[in-house]
Amino acid sequence: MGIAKLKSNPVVWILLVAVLMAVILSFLSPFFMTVGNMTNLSKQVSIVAILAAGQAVVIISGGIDLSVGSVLAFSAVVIGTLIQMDVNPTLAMFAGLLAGTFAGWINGMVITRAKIPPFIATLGMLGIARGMALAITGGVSHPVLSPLFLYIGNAKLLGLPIPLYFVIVTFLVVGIMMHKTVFGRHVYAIGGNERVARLQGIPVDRQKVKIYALSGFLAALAAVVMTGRLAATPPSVAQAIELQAIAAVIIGGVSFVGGRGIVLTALIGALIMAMITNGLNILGISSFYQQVLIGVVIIVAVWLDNLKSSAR
Amino acid sequence: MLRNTLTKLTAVAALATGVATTGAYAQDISMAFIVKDMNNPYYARMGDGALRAAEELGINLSYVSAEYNGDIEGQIAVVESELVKGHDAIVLVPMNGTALIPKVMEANALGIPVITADTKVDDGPAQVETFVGLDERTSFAGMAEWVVEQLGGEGQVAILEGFRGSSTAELRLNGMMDVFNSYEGIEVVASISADWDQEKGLKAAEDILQAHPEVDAILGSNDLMALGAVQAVKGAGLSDQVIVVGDDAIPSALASLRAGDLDATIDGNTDRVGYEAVMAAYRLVTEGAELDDWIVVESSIMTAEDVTDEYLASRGIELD
Repeated sequence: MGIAKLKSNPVVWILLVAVLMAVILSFLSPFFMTVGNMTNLSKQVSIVAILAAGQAVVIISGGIDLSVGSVLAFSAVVIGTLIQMDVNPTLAMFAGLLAGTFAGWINGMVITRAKIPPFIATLGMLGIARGMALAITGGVSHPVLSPLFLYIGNAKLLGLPIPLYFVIVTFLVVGIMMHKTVFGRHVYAIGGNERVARLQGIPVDRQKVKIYALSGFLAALAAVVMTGRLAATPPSVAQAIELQAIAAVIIGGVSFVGGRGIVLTALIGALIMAMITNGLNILGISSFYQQVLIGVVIIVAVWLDNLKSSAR
Repeated sequence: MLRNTLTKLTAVAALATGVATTGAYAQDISMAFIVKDMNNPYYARMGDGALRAAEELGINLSYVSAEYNGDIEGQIAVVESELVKGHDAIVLVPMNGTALIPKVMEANALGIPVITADTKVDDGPAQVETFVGLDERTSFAGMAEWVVEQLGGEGQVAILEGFRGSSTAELRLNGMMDVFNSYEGIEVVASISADWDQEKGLKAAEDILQAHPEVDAILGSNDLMALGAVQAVKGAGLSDQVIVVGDDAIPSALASLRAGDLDATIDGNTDRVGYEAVMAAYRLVTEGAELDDWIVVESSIMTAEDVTDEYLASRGIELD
C-alpha cells in the first residue's frame, strides 16, 4: 500500500488519534498502560463497542437507531426475569437475544411498512422497550448468579477478558457482512442513494428490516455482556447509551449522511471515548470535563474528516 | 409521563372545595405525591408509605414522578400538571434544590401548601410548610464513622458520588468528607461521580482499584453504585480486602449483604418518610396544624445480620 493510499485510509487516521491519546495518557498516569488497566479498558469499552457496530451499519444505510439502550435494557430484563423463574440460563440468554432482535425487527417493519422515518420509529421504540423493561420487572433488578453469566462477565480466556471476544467476533462478523457480502453492498447503496438503489432492483425494504433487526440483535448481545458484568439486570441500565454508540460511530469517521464509512472505525471511536472516561477517572479529574472532552472530540473528529474530504 | 393515580380524583369536587374550605371530609381531600423516579426502588418504597397513609386517611393521592432520576425538566412538567388539578396539598421530592423553586412559588401563589420530603428545596422565596426526611449529611457521616471504625482509624478510602449537581449527592459527599477529614489516618484517594448508575459505578470502581490498589474501602453514595463496586472488587479478586458500602437498602443490596458481598448499607426508612409526609400534609390541611421546620426520620446502618426474615417481610421483599 502506498503512502498516499495509507493517508487516505480512515482506519489509519482514527487509529493514529487513538494511539496518540494512549501515549499522552500513559505519560500522565503510570497506571494507564498496565495490563490490569488495559484489561479494564477492554471490558469497559465492550458494551458501547458492540452497540456501535450495529449503529455503524444503520448509519451507513442512511438511518439511525435511537432505541439500542432501551432494547439492551429490555433484553437484559428478559434474561434476568427468566433466570429468576428458574429457566435454564443458556435458554434465557437466547430468549434475550431473540427479544432484542424482535424489537429491532419491529423497528424495521415500522420504518419500511408504515413509512415512518428511522429517527421517529426508533425514538418510539426507545420509550416502548424501556417501558416494557420497567413494566416486566416492576422496576426491580434481578440478580444473575448463574455460572454462564459470571463466566461472561469475569472470566478470561488466553489472558483476555471474555467481553473482548464478544467485541472481536462482532466486528469480524459485521465487518465481513458489510465489506464482503451482497447485503453489505446493498447497505452502502441504500445509504448512498435510496431511490437509485430501488431503481437498481435492490430489495431496499427487506434489507432495511434486516439492518434494524441486526442492530436489535447486537443490542441484545451487549445486554448479555452487561448482565455478566453487573451480575444483575437493572431495568434502568444503559440510559442514553445510544448517544455514546452514535458518537463512537461519528468519531470513527462514518458519514452521517450515509453510504460511506468503515465499520471497524466505530470500534476505535468507542475505544477513544472509553479511554477518555477511564483515563480521567484514573487521573481523578471530574466527570464534568469528561463530557466536555468527548464533545470536543466528536466535533474535531468530524472537522478533520471534512478537511480530508475537501483536500481530496 | 408516568402516573399511577391511586384513585381517580373528582376534579370538580376538588376544585370546588379547594383549600379555602375548612373541615372538609377526608374523601374530598386530594394530594399529589411527586417523587423523582417511581421506578427506583428507593422512591417506590417511599410511594408505598405515602399510599399507605392515604389509604388509612381515606384521601385521594396522585402518586407521580418524572421518567428517570435526573430528568429535572420532566419533573417540572409533572408539577405543572398536578398544579392544575387543584390539590389540597402537594408533597414534593424535588429533583434539584433550586430548579423546583419557581414551581413551589407557583403553588404558593395558588394557595396550595407544599411539603418537601427526602430532598429539600433551597431556602429563599419558595414557601415550604415542612421538610420530612432524614438528615442525609448526618446519615452519611454515620456511615463514614462506621467505615473508619472497621478500618481501625487508618486506611485509604474512595467515594462513588452521585450525579454532580444533585443536592442529595452533595449532602452525602459532604457528610462523608466531614468525617474523613477529621481523621489523620484516613486518606480519601479518589472521589468519582458515577451518576447513581450501576454500570458507571462498576467502571469507576475498576478504575479506582487500578489507580489505588491499596484502597481499603469504597463508599457508594447509593446501593446501585455500591453493587457495581462489589462486582469490580470481585473481578479484581479483592473481596476480602476491600470494604464496600452503599445506601438505600434496596432489595438487591439486601441480597448482596446476605451473600457477604456488600458490607453495609443505610436504611433511610423511606417508607416512613412517605408516610409521615402525607400525614403531616393531612394535619396541615384539616387542622391547620403548626408543623416543625424539619420532621426528621432517622436512618439506620444495616449489615448482613440485620437482614432478617422479619425485616424482609416488613418490607414485602422476597429474597431467594
